[in-house]
Amino acid sequence: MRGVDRKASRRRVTRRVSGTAAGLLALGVLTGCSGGAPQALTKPPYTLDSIRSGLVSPGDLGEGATEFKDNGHASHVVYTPPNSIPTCPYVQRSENVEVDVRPAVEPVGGMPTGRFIVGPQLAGTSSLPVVTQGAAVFTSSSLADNTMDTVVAESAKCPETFGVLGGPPTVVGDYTVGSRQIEMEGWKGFAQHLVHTSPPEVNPDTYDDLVTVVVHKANAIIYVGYAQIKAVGQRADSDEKVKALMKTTLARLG
Amino acid sequence: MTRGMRPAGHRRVRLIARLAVVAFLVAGGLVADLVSVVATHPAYAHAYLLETSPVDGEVLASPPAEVRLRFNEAVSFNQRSIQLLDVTAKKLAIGTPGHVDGKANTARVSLPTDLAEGTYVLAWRVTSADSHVVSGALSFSVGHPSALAAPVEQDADPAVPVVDAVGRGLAFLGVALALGGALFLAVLWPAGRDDRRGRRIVWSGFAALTAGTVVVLLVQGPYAAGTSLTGVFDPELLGATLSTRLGQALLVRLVIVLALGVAFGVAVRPSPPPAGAGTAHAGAAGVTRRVVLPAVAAAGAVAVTLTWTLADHAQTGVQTWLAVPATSLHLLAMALWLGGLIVLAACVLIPEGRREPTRAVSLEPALPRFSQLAQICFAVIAVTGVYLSWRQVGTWGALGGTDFGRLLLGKLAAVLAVVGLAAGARRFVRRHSREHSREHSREHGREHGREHGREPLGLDAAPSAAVRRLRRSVMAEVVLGISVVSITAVLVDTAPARISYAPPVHTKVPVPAAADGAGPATGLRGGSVEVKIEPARSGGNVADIYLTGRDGSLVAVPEVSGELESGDRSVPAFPVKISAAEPGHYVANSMSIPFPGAWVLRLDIRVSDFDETPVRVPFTAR
Repeated sequence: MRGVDRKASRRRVTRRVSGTAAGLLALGVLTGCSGGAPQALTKPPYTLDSIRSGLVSPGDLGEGATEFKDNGHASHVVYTPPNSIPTCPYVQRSENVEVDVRPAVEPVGGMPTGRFIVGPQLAGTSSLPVVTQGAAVFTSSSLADNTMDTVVAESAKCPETFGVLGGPPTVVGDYTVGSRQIEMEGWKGFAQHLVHTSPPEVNPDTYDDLVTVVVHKANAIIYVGYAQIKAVGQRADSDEKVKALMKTTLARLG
Repeated sequence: MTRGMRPAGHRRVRLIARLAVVAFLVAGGLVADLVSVVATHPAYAHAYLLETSPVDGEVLASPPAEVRLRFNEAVSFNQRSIQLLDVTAKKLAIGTPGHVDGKANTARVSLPTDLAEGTYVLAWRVTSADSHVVSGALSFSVGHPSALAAPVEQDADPAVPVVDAVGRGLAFLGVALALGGALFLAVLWPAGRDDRRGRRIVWSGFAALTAGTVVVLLVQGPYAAGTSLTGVFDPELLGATLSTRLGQALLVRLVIVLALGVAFGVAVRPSPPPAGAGTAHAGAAGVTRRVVLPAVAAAGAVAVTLTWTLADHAQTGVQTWLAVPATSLHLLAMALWLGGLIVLAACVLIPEGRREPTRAVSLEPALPRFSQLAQICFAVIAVTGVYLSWRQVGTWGALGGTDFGRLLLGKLAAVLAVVGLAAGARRFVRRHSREHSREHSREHGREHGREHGREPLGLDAAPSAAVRRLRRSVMAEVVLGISVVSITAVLVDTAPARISYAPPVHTKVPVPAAADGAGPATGLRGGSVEVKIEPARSGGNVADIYLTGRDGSLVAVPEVSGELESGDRSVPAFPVKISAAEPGHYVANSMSIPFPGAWVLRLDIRVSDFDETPVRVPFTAR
């Protein structure tokens, strides 16, 4: 009898354990539990504070990176308002562009975070890129939609090639621009790739590899410019790097 | 000792045999996969547009008399399949669409002669040979182009495909209950003919099959025309559906269902009492029951499955000669297993459990017979399933990379769960069946049995707890089986992975010796051209072109231009706009591939002011 009781009790315990395990498994599946995926810190609608968690921080970029807010001084060579969203960088310096295109669009009805720059502490001594970024949050998704439409339309006018003949040596040269649509973590927008090559007599060895990503979701628009200096003959890889970086930062927004 | 070892040895042999079968199937799939890559050209199940007149975007001096479309395979359409819209998306009156010179892969429609200057959109929506609808649009301008003020909407009401899928699912479930249930009642379970619940289940199967078929027949019209569900009773749309292969197949199915229903009614009709041996009437009735009915039922079962396979994915793509019988067998095996299982559960297992301890319904001989049938069905489903999966998926990447592949993986998971449960049920049958008991008795307790003077009781003597477990397991099998049917209903409406999977193209081509000139491109000597095309399918694509030297570094050249050449020589080459990115990297951001198939990206690389070298990069677009 005792043996039978023990067997029955063991069976009950086994059933309970397997039932609990199955329940936990089902709960895990239902809640989408998985290892590795970064947990979202916030959800739409975004606020000026919450949207900051989707921007690149010095920790995201690596050791030796620092961050500062751009009050307009950092971009004096190709000035655009710190609260604007880039659409065609450097085009305002060009003398041979025939289309009427704005280098950046200032959001109407949106609250901008301002522009933040994350990069190496001392320029030129590090392999870290320079990230120029910002965001704007709107009171409604439709306002954000309208602004994004304006940004996309303006960036579509950006010429595929243009040149800058005069000005500081760092901006003189030829520019090529290409744009691709992207979608990451539910954020949709475009990645605009800009390559700047200096005249051979000025700098035959390197070129600027800049990718500007502008993405939109719910009531927010985020832009991230990722710039690197590459040796001629090397492949541009800002595109892949910024996408990998933003996959992490945007996942924090949920 | 020896006795104890024998069952273990048997199990091992059985396990090895099963593993060998699985290995054979997997190896078969792999070999078929490799053969497909090496020996066959890609085939596509849905129709796609090869050529139009006028061509998309063409500006004409005067209005064209007609528009012609040429597809890669036969298409069917109705009066509303082709529409002409002006810049405000207003529909204009056009002629009745028809085929060009009776060729089934073409469509033509006459246009009004008084078209004003401006841009027009011709929207088309035709039905492929596999009954799936494909659509598109082309624009042309008379005099000068004008801006389009409204987008062209061609998608059907979202409720239409949902109702269509429900109808298909209902038909699948119905055919299972009708065929599998009828076989179970009429052949496997001697007491089944008198079981009212069993007959009711089979009749409901016939009803579901009829209703599902009628729903698909009615919905196909609005689906093909891109209209809402209000058009299901539109005689014009119904007429158009009946003129297609799918419509005719559905109509034939309804006739076969009627014939099968009559045959089932006769089969389960109570037999007349023997009025005396040797009478002519009794003899004729016996012949009808023993010969005519089984023949009609077998022919009807095969014919009803063909009404699916002659109008779906099996009808198009590679190896249709094998795909049609394989799909029919797959469907038939599924129907016999699932329908039989449902009747077994509802009429034998559940009452058997409820009526404890009297056990008015015996598990013998229905359960062991059905168990054997299920084994055969699973073998057929496994072999045909592996083949059909390969045929519709093609590559491993397409399994996870497409909706079809993911649905198939879900279906496979459900089927494996069913197989696991069925194996448990099979073990129950083997352990408790009379045959096994007899054998067991012979081996272990011959003397013991004689001493006690009784025969083994078989399945009905199985412990109640074991029967309860079996019942739960069979109910789970039923639920999983119905979920498999539901997935299949969605699967047949989904584009096969073989055509929808588009792995990006990434290829390298050596630079021809002709490019070894002097000048800025000297670094190209011994180098290569690396091309990445994404997503490598019909429509908009992005091509990245890297010119690399012998050491792998990028080499800039003055200019790269390109053209897209089709494998079909009758199709003219399309210019590809290529612009520079970083030095040595060139990009075609909006390379449009008109249709799937074999293509060549021809690049003209200008290496100096005077020298240009062509490089041909072949690739396949899905």
